[in-house]
Amino acid sequence: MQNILSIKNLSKEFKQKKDTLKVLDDVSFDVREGEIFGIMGQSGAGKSTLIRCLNVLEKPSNGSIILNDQNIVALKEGHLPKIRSQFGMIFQSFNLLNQRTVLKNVLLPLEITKNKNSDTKARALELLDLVGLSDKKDAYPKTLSGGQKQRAAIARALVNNPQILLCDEPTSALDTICSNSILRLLKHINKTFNITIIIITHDKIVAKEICDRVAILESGKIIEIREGHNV
Amino acid sequence: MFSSINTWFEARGIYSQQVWRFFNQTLQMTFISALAAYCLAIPLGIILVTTKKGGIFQNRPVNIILGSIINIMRSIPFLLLAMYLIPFTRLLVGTALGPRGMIVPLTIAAVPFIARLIENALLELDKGLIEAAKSMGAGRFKIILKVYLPECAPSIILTAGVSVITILGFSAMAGIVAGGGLGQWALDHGHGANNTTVILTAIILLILIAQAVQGLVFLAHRVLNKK
Repeated sequence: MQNILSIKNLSKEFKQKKDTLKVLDDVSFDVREGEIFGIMGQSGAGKSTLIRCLNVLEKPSNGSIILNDQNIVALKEGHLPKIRSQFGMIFQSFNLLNQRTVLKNVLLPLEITKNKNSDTKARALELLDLVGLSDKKDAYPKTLSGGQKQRAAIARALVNNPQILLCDEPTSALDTICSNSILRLLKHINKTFNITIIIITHDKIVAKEICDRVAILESGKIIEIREGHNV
Repeated sequence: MFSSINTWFEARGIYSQQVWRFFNQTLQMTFISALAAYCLAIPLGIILVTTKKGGIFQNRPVNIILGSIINIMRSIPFLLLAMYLIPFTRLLVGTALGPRGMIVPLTIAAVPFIARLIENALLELDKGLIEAAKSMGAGRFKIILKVYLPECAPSIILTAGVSVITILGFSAMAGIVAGGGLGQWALDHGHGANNTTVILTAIILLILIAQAVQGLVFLAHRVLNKK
């Protein structure tokens, strides 16, 4: 399999009042096209910072991230929105806009990237069908359960046809049953669209359940990369 | 029935046509000033929030300077501001008298105060939503237009209760600088003519306006808020 993303010698430091805090320390790994790649570690290991570096929500202090032969770390701020829209992202706290219906939430990335094809609404409805929320398209987020919110967020993350889906602890706020159904949905999406998924988790079961490979992150360093079923 | 009520009021120096004229002046200066003040205060509130530390336009000098100007403006008593602004008001709207002349000082007095209310409303936004919008490829202005304003719209509406009623309160002081409105009526025909009934009537009318405003604001908030 071909690499879709190559991370080389990535580090991230946060300047504090006197000293600097090194959150990521010389991290290198490749993500293969079409795989589900897990990043596992305790809280404070730097997982969230790492995933935010991948779509440059956080600017890494050093190192490179190669996406489609391009080092996206070296790009100027003005080019970043376009790069970010090539990733989809879902979050632990879902981050749906409360004042928008489910359908309007799914359409938001298209409004932002001005993707004005006439079939955008059809695409959004198709994705809502895929995640099993067709009947909730006109509902507001507050009326949804946690699992339904994450499903809506997944549809939203996919609407711009991203190459890579980034998942930041997507099931940590959910109970076991909801969590399992979200994991099955992610796996289904991975198979259906052949989309690469990078998933952050502190949970061994999540890693074992769906990841092809898992990187173990400890104090900002990757200590090993294992096959998912060996976690 | 109606004519007997009218006679009762007129015996106490309260003439319906006169009351309506002053009542309308109060409504005019309050609502026009509020509208103008919001047009200026919303952008200022946005600047206050986004230039803060960690904000999308983080800029310490701008934040500190704007914050200080707003604090200074807020500490000037309205009546003194209205007097001091008379030449500026004349220049801008041609007169410093009547409701027309009051709109300028009322607006200027309300802007810094509303800007702070808007700032508070915008600060309620969950930072995760900003991050989500960024992850979709939103630039900073898109974040303001697509996330900050629509998500905080119900809270912004809610600020109108406090701000319109405060402007209403300021407008009642307008009488002292010949600004018209119910305050003027209470001053000239009530206080000046030693007629407490006029003053009491003016108070009751102002209370009714305030109640109506707050009621409408709550209603609008309930309809618009989906959170």
